[in-house]
Amino acid sequence: MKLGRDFDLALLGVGVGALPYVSRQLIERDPAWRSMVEHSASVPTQALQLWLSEDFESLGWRSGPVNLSGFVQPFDTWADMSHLAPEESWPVAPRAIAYFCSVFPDAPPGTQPSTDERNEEVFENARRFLNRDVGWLWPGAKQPTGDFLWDLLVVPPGTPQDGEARLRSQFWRANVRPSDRYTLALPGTLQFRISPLDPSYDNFAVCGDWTDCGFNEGCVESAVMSGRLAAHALCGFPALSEIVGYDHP
Amino acid sequence: MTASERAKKPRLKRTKPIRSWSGVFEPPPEGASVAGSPASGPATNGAKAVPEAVQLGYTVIQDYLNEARQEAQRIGGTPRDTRASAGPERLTQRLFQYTSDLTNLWLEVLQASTQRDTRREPPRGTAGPFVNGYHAEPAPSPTPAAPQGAPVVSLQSPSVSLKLCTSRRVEATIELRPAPIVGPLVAHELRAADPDAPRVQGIELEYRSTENRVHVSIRIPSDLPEGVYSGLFLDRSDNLPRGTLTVTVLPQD
Repeated sequence: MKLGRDFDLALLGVGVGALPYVSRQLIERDPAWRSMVEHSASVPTQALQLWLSEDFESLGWRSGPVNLSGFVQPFDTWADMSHLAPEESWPVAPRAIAYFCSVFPDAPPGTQPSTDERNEEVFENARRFLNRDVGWLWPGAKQPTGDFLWDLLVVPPGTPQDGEARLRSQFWRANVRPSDRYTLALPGTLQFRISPLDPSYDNFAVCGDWTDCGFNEGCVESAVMSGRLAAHALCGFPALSEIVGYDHP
Repeated sequence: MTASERAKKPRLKRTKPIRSWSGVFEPPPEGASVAGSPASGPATNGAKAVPEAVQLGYTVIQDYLNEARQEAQRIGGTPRDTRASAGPERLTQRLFQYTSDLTNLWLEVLQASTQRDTRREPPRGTAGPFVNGYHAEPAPSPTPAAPQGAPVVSLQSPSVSLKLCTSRRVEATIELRPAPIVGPLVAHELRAADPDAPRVQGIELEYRSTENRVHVSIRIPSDLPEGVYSGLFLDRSDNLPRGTLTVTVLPQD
């Protein structure tokens, strides 16, 4: 790519885990960049989403819509995403959508499993989690044997309909690629982050939840703030006063 | 293309956030600055934004209060009169008071609801015990039977048997986490703080679910230097630590 022909301004918005691969020259030449990358950290995550034919109250969850964490591995976080059901193109909308996620351990040293193999690990985690753990949240989602009630899963036409095979039609994913990894905010590292407003390069800005964006945590809110700051850096809009959360005591 | 011809980012008035109370309730004073750049202020409409934010906060709080009041009425409580005079200090007091009241009320509601339904049995599994609309105590005992072929998981802390083969004076400490063991267990080799120090290898671990007991066997080499050696117990089912083992090799008599 050539400056002036292919691009004028550049915005780097990859995940923090990909920085060593896409910004090698910057890291070699710029001490600030080198320091930021050396002090950054990330972990793989695993995700599972289920579409259910019963709402959570019917399954025994009595505390209303929830986003909870601190549950058990392999999926310690559950978010009720049922509000998205009307936005999806189901012939008959599911009555509940559950999203689970958690940290996913790195592959053991010396091994290099493929992404497909790691995805399959997540699938097995999901199967085990549903059979063993989710009954604590949804007592009504169990068979008399104690295993998960697989018929609760809403499956698209033409996909396996029997027992555990229904799980194959749901969503699961190992977020192990460098740009997919989750940004950690470790003590003593935040001061090394570079701001989207950093003026060091006159045609270049960064964005992502790994930047110094005023809310330096790994979350969508900081990613949004960072993106808006980068837009401000590149074109002057939006005004900093309109970026919620950037200016505060 | 020269540097003057190519597109550049606009020159920014500031590159840092404003971290000051001075700009929250009123526009920042003329000429006020933050590190590295002159201030443009968090908005000259700050004085307008704050009342709107407070109003929004009260709307949310009022919604919670209404829900809590309905719940309190449902379980026989008496709703509070929430009307009070306005004024910044009074509003702040009310904010804290409502937060405190709401917390207490929520705890009462939770307690009442968990005491209402004690008939439902807690579900089987390794998580918990958790409270989800039923009383979590007493813990399920004896442990419900697992499906055939599946590991038996106990919610009770396991006992430990230690077999120590050594000609040295040693102290051994084993700490197990209060988490269910699915197994099998594996042990890391024991390491000293000095990375060059030799390591204690060959630790044998066996978890017998029928006894709910962890059997540990350690052999300490006779030439192992004095020091503290530590390692982790891991559960193969999820590769998470289930405990630690520490061996202190004491000076020879």
